[in-house]
Amino acid sequence: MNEMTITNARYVNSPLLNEVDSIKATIDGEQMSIPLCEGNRHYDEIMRQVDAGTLTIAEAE
Amino acid sequence: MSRSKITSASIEDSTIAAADIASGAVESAIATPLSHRNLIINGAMQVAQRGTSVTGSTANTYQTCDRWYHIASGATYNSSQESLTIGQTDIPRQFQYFLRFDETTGNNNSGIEQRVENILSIAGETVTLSFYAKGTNPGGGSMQIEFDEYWDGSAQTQNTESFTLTSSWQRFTFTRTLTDPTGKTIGSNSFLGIKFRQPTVDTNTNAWTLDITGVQLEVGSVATPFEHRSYGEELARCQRYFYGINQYTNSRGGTGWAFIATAVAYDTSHMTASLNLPVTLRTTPTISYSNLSGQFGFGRSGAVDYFDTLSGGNSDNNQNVNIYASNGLSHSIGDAGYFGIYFGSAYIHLDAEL
Repeated sequence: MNEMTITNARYVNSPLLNEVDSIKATIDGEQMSIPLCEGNRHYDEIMRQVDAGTLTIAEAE
Repeated sequence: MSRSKITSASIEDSTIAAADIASGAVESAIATPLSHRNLIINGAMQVAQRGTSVTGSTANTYQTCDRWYHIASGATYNSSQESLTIGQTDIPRQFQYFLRFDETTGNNNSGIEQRVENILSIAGETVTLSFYAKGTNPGGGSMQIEFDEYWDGSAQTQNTESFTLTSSWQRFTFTRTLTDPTGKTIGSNSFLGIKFRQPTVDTNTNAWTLDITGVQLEVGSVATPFEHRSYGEELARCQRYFYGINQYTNSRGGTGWAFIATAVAYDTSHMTASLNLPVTLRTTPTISYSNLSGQFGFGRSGAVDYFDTLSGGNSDNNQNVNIYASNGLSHSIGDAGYFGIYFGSAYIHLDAEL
């Protein structure tokens, strides 16, 4: 698999339930809202990079 | 002879010699169209929801023709959905489009890939890949096909073949037997990846171009004629992995608002709208969108609030997504209206690709 370039990753609180329900990030230059869902390729790659210590996800604002 | 008289018991061994069979008789039987043979989606390059061309890209991502993952691997490429000349006879006339993958700066392992979902469905089988291609070769003089078996997230079996492009269309065929699944662990994203690329050992940076269409992968050792599918059928298959909501041309031939969904003011600062998806997606999708000022709108109470950014919601799944926005809004709680895309080049993409 080729690695995605991921920057500005941040958890997002749902306005409906006031709990974290997605991650906002810029992936390969595009703004994305990524669900917390294993099997979603962007979420899987974010978690892989977090586990590898190359990416940190900021807390929700 | 009546067909009803022909049974396996009524034909003795060695009764029919090869010379007794008319030329083409067996081929005709093999060529009988059977549906659902082709495991490749968008093999005729009909669908291009993301757009029909990109230039100067260095991204490893899906581009232009749906389901075709583009691998830069350090190279720079252009990609486009191209039309075949009407009436051409170089390849069967059923084809209208081909994908042109044009590397302006080459690098090893760069090319295009189709990821066939659920490797278990073909594991252990003999499969045949066929496609029509022309173009120019990387600096090393040939192209490479790679069959990558992904069982639980990494390529565990990799087999390669080589082929050589010329300036004329050719049909290439390759037959492989895939790994037996016994003892394998299956992850959430198992697939068979088929790559068309600059060979791993070829680190040349010369430019090259691959024109390709009619890609078919089928179980068995024979390459049958390409299986025709209508645009609607192919689009629905593509939408399992990617759904693009783009600005529409209105009935007067111009561009205007694209009303996407009804929307409500959930509270003083949030608009929410639910999108029902045309097909069930493979998984809960990533939402991405264009980057234009005031590209989206919430029309309510005789006014429109314009905004730039949006998010997915915690009720998202693979059948509908709940979009919400919080910037640029001035509604009152309980306002109802529509959520729309305003600019012609604006888009919302839902990505559930492998």
